[in-house]
Amino acid sequence: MVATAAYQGVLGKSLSSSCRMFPSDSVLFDARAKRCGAAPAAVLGIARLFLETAAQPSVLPPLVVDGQARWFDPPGSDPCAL
Amino acid sequence: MLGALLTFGLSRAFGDTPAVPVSGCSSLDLEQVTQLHRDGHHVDVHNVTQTLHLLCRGEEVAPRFHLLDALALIELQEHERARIALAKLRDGSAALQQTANLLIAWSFNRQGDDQAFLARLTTLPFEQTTRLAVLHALDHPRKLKQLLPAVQGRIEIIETLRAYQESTRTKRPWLAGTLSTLIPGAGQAYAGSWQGAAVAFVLNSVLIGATVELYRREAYLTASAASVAASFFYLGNILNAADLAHRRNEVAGAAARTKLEFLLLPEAHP
Repeated sequence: MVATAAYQGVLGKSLSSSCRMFPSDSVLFDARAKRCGAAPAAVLGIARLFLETAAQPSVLPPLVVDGQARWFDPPGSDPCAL
Repeated sequence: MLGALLTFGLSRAFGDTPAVPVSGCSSLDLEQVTQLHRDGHHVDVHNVTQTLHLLCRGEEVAPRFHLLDALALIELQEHERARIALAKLRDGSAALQQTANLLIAWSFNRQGDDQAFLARLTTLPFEQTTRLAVLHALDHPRKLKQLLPAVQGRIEIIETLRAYQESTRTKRPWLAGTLSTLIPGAGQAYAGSWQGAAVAFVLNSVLIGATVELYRREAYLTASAASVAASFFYLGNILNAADLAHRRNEVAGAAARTKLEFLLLPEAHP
């Protein structure tokens, strides 16, 4: 939680990086870490990072959020699963 | 109609006399909002119906607007709010109550809450239960096989079901996962993502290679940290491969699934 807060507050802003996923990887990681624990959340987070590299319309629906194109990947009914 | 609504809303908000008086809220143009729903403008449908509620406070808003609002909210994955909108329909006619109950059960199905869905299913008439059960069983071939006799007479449904099953079997998630277990990235390549395959292969190779090299140099503490990171990336790579294959199938079957929803649940597609 501290790590994601540091990333969102400092590193993400200073590198002016913007996640291509919606909700963003760090937001989803935080939610999963609270529900499922840090280790499962880390594995799921890494799987999502891989998904981000493979993202295309045949896999994820595109979405425009705040004028930026993102890939829409909402958490399912079970947050501890992909 | 929308222009008139907005003018009226703004003038009311700023305390002016309405430029276009709205009378008889129940007679507002339902067809225009229904068309927005058909075109997939779900946010617009929700905004228009909410505006109507604000403007027509105290007057009766046609129940169909509640229904359209609920359907829009289901599409927007706002299931709890959709069910609140549907609950308002329970004061209406018997037919409307039945539709509301059916759509409440369907919203649980769309939300993936199997327990609540099955509990609701038992309260519905048999014919509705069958239709929803078929929709629910789409991804469970064994259950679907048991339910097929119930829709045997409806050729279009049977043909669409066949098309759906064929299109959702193009990629096997278990095979993608197994391939990535053997060679990181192989499952992603099988699922059709060469970019994902390259990233998974390179990252896993670097981390596994670094772990081995650090152990060789007897830097055990750093090697342990690297092995933990390598394990996470290795597991993430396997999960991602299976997930990618599953998503490919979902997208491939989306058109047939939508058609099945139209055929089996016309109440949700006015």
